[in-house]
Order: sequence, then structure tokens, then C-alpha cells
Amino acid sequence: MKTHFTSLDRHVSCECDYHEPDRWRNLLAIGAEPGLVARGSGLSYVAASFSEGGTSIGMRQFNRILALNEQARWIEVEAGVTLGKLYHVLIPRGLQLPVQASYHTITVGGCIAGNVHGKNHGREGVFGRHVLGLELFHPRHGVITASPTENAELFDLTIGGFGLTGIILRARLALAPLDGAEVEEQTIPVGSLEEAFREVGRLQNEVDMLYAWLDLANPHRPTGAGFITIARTVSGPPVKVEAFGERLEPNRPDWRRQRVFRAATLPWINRLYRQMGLRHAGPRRVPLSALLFPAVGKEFYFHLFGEPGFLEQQVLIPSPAVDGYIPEFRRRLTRHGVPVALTTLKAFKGGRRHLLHYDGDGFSFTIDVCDGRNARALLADLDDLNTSVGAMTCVIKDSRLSAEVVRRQYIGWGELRDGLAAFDPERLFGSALSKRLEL
Amino acid sequence: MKRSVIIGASAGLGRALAERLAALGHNLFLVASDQRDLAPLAGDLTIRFGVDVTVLAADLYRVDAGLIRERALSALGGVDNLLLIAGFSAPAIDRGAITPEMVDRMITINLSAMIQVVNAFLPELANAQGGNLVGAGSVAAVRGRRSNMVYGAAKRGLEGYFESCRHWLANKAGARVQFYRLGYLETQMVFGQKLPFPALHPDAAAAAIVAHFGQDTGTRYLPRWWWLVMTLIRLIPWVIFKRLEI
Ligand SMILES: Cc1cc2nc3c(=O)[nH]c(=O)nc-3n(C[C@H](O)[C@H](O)[C@H](O)COP(=O)(O)OP(=O)(O)OC[C@H]3O[C@@H](n4cnc5c(N)ncnc54)[C@H](O)[C@@H]3O)c2cc1C
Ligand SMILES: NC(=O)c1ccc[n+]([C@@H]2O[C@H](COP(=O)([O-])OP(=O)(O)OC[C@H]3O[C@@H](n4cnc5c(N)ncnc54)[C@H](OP(=O)(O)O)[C@@H]3O)[C@@H](O)[C@H]2O)c1
Repeated sequence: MKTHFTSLDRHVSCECDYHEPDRWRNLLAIGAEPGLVARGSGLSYVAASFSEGGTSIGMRQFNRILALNEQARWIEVEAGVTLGKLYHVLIPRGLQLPVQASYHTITVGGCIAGNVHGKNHGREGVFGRHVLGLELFHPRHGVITASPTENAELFDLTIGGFGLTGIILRARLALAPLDGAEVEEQTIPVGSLEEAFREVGRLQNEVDMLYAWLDLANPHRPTGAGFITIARTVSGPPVKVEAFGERLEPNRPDWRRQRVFRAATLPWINRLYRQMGLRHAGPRRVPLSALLFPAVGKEFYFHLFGEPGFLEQQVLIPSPAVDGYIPEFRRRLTRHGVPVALTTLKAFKGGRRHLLHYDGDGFSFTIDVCDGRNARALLADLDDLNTSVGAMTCVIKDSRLSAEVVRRQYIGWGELRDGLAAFDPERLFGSALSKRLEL
Repeated sequence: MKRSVIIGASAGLGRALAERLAALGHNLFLVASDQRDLAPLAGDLTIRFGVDVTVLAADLYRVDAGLIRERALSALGGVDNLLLIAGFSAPAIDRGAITPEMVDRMITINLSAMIQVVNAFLPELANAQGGNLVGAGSVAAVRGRRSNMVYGAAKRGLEGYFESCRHWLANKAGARVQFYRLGYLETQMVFGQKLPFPALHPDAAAAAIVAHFGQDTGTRYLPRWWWLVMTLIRLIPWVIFKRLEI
């Protein structure tokens, strides 16, 4: 079926063929044609699961749980299973996935292919670290089993490989025990970007989750005051596994998609949000799902950018570079006069730089801005700054990132491209993202 | 624990019904043609809902209703609900002459295999107090058109057979009969087709079907508003109807 897909940031729209097989014989009959790519829930900010004239294979129907070993702590699933479905099965059994992206309809296939990060990078690392094995389909190679010990090179390319090695059919994932059934959350005020980086660095080993929300909505006074949210899981009554209501659907027309975020409104909105955050400083008990899926219930945030959408830049800044980075970042923000709708900060620890994985040591610093000429000029300017300090930009979040910037920021770009070419010389799998990054 | 048999359980409405009934604690016996689809579904339902799920991969085109009954009874120890959901249509070609093999396939899967299966279970259904016999028909069978010619005829035949079953079971302490003239469902059967009316999600259809369990409703439309659409279509005078491309 011919379909129009739009990336979540609304930056890229393509017409492509879409198939959503619901039986194995239809999935395995997919022919060898260029421009194939798997699609989970289509929640990547960038166009990672479709391309103009390509063929996207929706995996939503392949969402079954195949096996669960509570003693050995692993679960085997089809790749279209969502994090929300796993939450409902695992939490009552006192188990959880060690790394979870922040939204309930994100699929396991999307988590593997995007090698996503979770709430506490220092403790759990990235998603790929917990994949014990998987099964992949490629029309030329058939069904292949891969794990760290079997077809290890292919396994390595598939983790964080943006669906470019083929369609992940099934995966076996390691599980972690649930630390507690409830979460105690607290917010701590910070007066500046400098203080936020310092405090996030200091607190990272002490809590189960932490992130900073910072106010950079006024580019002419970008102090970056805000608050740090820290959370610890604590024992409590058995978890009530509530149903998740809304689901983000970037491809459906939605009357709520109205542009509210503007230069005039953002400083007020951010000020209000900061006051609310500090007024309810806590400590307070919140349900576990609020820790695991903080974006649930806040879907309206994406609508407030309106049809033009937004741009996100998420960069991993090495710790030693932070002191030099902050003043330079502020200077560029003021020069371009771009209000930032959302600024967040997390700590990363102990990861390794590999291929195009968003992984390593340092601080994950994220800004969302309304799409526009000034915003693009700012982000292009920041690309130079990021590259010069050795930072890496998360490629699955930023729709305008060029191949050249990625080549300069990631030592693994060439290795991924060469690995893909060796496995699949015809390069049957591709997306708008892989084309832009010249993979 | 209730015991339910679903024929055509691996995809679409049948799969949605399997999930719904498993969530209600039914032990299940599921039939479809491909073990690769049935086994994962059985695993999923067992893990999530703790019910017993047995599957049988069997092609209804070459149905052995006796075998289905024997396996179902040995797995479940009896049957409370029998749901005949499988269906096969070929709208792109089922308009005018088609191959004899295709006619045979469509009549067999949609009609004669269904009759064979119900027939095999009639002794159980006659005693299944509180149980249900559910059939999946189609709005395509309500007024014959030049599209879905054989499919429509087979579904109309099935509707007739269910009417007879309802009558046969009426004075027995057995299963209640519900037959649905289904409108469009958001399943593979209509995937990618431009539809003149909205399609119902299979989960919603399954919820409605299960909600009617225990009721002696006979034939009804699902969703209900199809009654209005089909009544209007039936009222279109022949001189106009014969010119319509519907
Ligand atoms: C509200 C929200 C919160 C988020 N939170 C986080 C977060 O906390 N941490 C984080 O790291 N990211 C986060 N993300 C980003 C998101 O986790 C990733 O973009 C993820 O890849 C999306 O998964 P998806 O199922 O929607 O996949 P899609 O967007 O459909 O696809 C993403 C990529 O995965 C590939 N893929 C999907 N399924 C398969 C398969 N079966 N086989 C092979 N390849 C496949 C696609 O080809 C594509 O390259 C968030 C996104 C949103 C919208
Ligand atoms: N979808 C619609 O818009 C629509 C509209 C009106 C009426 N209906 C009717 O509603 C019912 C359900 O439709 P659906 O859309 O859910 O269908 P579907 O998605 O095509 O699923 C049909 C199920 O029946 C099984 N099946 C089909 N042929 C079989 C065979 N020869 N042997 C064994 N199993 C077989 C299929 O499994 P395998 O493929 O593995 O065999 C599958 O599990 C059908 O009776 C259909 O005619 C549907």
C-alpha cells in the first residue's frame, strides 16, 4: 500500500510502499528489492524506518512473547513487541528490562536497531548490552541466528545498525530484578548550566534515575537555571500495572498539532514549568511507570510545535570538555537568538565508542528547538562546537545532521558502512536516514 | 475454566478473540494452517494469562473435522464455545469466471469446512449449557453483487446453516448461536484497500462478540450501523442497482 510517512520531528515526509504482514509466510516472502527497511512504531525522531520510493515492513503484528525464564532471567520475544506489553508481563513477576526508552509503544526492534539508552546509563549501559541473541531475516541470506558467539560480526552490526542488516524477527533479552515497586522522586533546584552539570555528575552514582530540566528559553539570558529530578525505587505495595492510554501517531492528522511554542511564549511556558517543578519538590511517591515511561501523558508536548515540527540535538559531551563547552554554547545560542523549548541533561558512564552508537562517558545534553532558519544556523554552528570538543550527536534524534559531521564525530562510521557492504553488497536495506548519512 | 475452540485463530479477528478469551481465563484450542503463527500465539497467551493453549495446524481446504474434534476434546476435555472465524476471499478475481479450483477453495473454506466442523461438534454443543456457537459471516453476502460472487454465496450459505443450528439447538440445554454479518475489519483481508466505510479494529470486534456470549441473538450486524447501510442497499431498485459498481 502506498503510504506517506512523516518523522516524529515532522522534518521528513516520504511516499513509500508499506506492508504490515501478519503471518510468517508473508513476512518471509518479502522479495529482494532495494529500499527495504523494517518499521517498529515509527517513533524515531528521524526518518529511520522509511525512505522515498522505498518499502517499509511494519512489524507491529509480530509482537508475541515466545518464552520467559524467570530463574535464568531472560525473555524471548518477537521484535514488534512493545515496551508497554513487556512492562505488563514483567513487572508483576518482579522483573524488568534493564534499559528502556521512555515511551510505551516503542518496540524491541526499534530499541535494538537504535541501541537506545534508558534511565541510568552508568548502571545499565545501552539496550544492546542486554541482547543475548537474535534472529534476522534478509531476503538474500534467509533467516540467520546471531549472538555474541554465533555470527558475531552480524550481531554487532545489527545492534545499533538502524535496521540496515535486515529485519529482526526475534530476540532474547536479559532481564533484571525489579529493585522496588514504587519510586520516590525529588527535585533539586539548580541556578545555572554549570551547576547542573556539576550536580548531575556528582549525584549520578547515588540514585536510580536522574536528569536535569533546564530553562534556556530566553536566548539572551541563557543561564540554564532549572531543576534536577532524582528518583530511587523503593519497596511498596505490589505494582498496579495500569493500562497506557494514548499512543503517539506521527502519521495521523491531529487537530491538537497547533504551534504554541514561539519566541514570545516559550520563556513564559518554561518559567511556569520550572515553578511547577520546584513547587512539587517532594520527596513524593510516584508509580513505577512514571519512572520508566516519563513521556506517557505528555504526548501533547510534540503537538505544541505545530505542523512545522521541531529539531532535536542530543550530544554526548566528554566530561573534561564541559567547562569549555558551556560558555561557548551560551555565546552561540545568544548570537543566533533561538529560544530552546526543552533542555535536558543526563550522565553517561562506562560506555564504549563503537560504530554509530550513542554511548560513552560524559554528559548527554539535549535541546529541542522549533524548526526554522535561525534554528538550523544555530545547530550547524553547534555541530562545529560539538565536533571540536569531541562530542557525538545522537543520529536517531537529529534530522539535519550531515554525513560529514557524523564522519568527523564517530570513529565507527566507516566500519559500519564497510561492514554493511560486506554483508550485503547490494545494500537492499536503506532509509532516508541511511541515505543522508551515506551509509 | 471455560474451554473454547477457535477455527481461524492465528490472525485478524480470530487472533483477537483468542487474546480476549485467554484474558478471561479460557483454555483454548486454536486452529489455522500455519504452525509458525500458532506456536508463538500459544506461547504468548500462556505466558501472559496462564491458560492452557493447544494448537493444531490444519488446512481447512482439506479439513478433517473428526481430527479437529478428537484433538480438541483430548486437549480441553470438553468444549463450551466453538468459534468459526476462518474465511477466505479473493476480491480482485472473484468477479466473473474464476478457476474451478478457486471456486472449490472458496466454497470449502468458507462453507463446507465450517459445516463439517460444526457438524462434528454438534453432540458437544447440544450439551454445552452456557456455551456458544459463533459464526463469521459478511455484509458481502447480504445482496449479491458482481464482486465477491462466490465468497458472498458461500457466506450466505453459512448464514443459512447457522440459522438451522440455532433452530436445532433451540430446545436443547446447549450452546447459544450467534452469527455475525461482519462489516470491514482492519485486518490483512482488506489491508491497503480503499474502503467506502470505516473498518472496525479486530480487538473491538472481538470485545463485542464476547460481550454477546450467552445471548440467543441469531444473526446480527457487527458493527450494528451496517444494518442501515445494508437495508438501504437492499432497497435500491434493481434498475438502478444493476448499474452500480459496488
Ligand atoms: C516519546 C519518546 C521517548 C523516547 N525516549 C527515548 C529514550 O529514553 N532513550 C532513547 O535512546 N531513545 C528514546 N526515544 C527514541 C526511540 O527509542 C528510538 O527512536 C526507537 O528506535 C524507536 O522505536 P520504534 O519501535 O518506534 O522504531 P521505528 O522508529 O519504527 O524504527 C527505528 C529504527 O529501528 C529499526 N527497526 C525497527 N524494528 C526493526 C526490526 N524488527 N528489525 C530491524 N530494524 C528495526 C528501523 O528500521 C529504524 O531504523 C524516544 C522516542 C520518543 C518518541
Ligand atoms: N476483514 C474484513 O474486512 C471482513 C469483512 C467481512 C467478513 N469478514 C470475515 O470475518 C472473518 C475473519 O476475517 P479476518 O479479516 O480476521 O481474516 P484473516 O485476517 O484473513 O484471518 C483468517 C484466519 O483464518 C485462518 N485461515 C484462513 N484460511 C484457512 C485455511 N485454509 N485453513 C486453516 N486456517 C485458515 C487464517 O490462518 P492461516 O492464514 O494461517 O491459514 C487466519 O487465522 C472471516 O470469516 C472473513 O471472511 C472479514
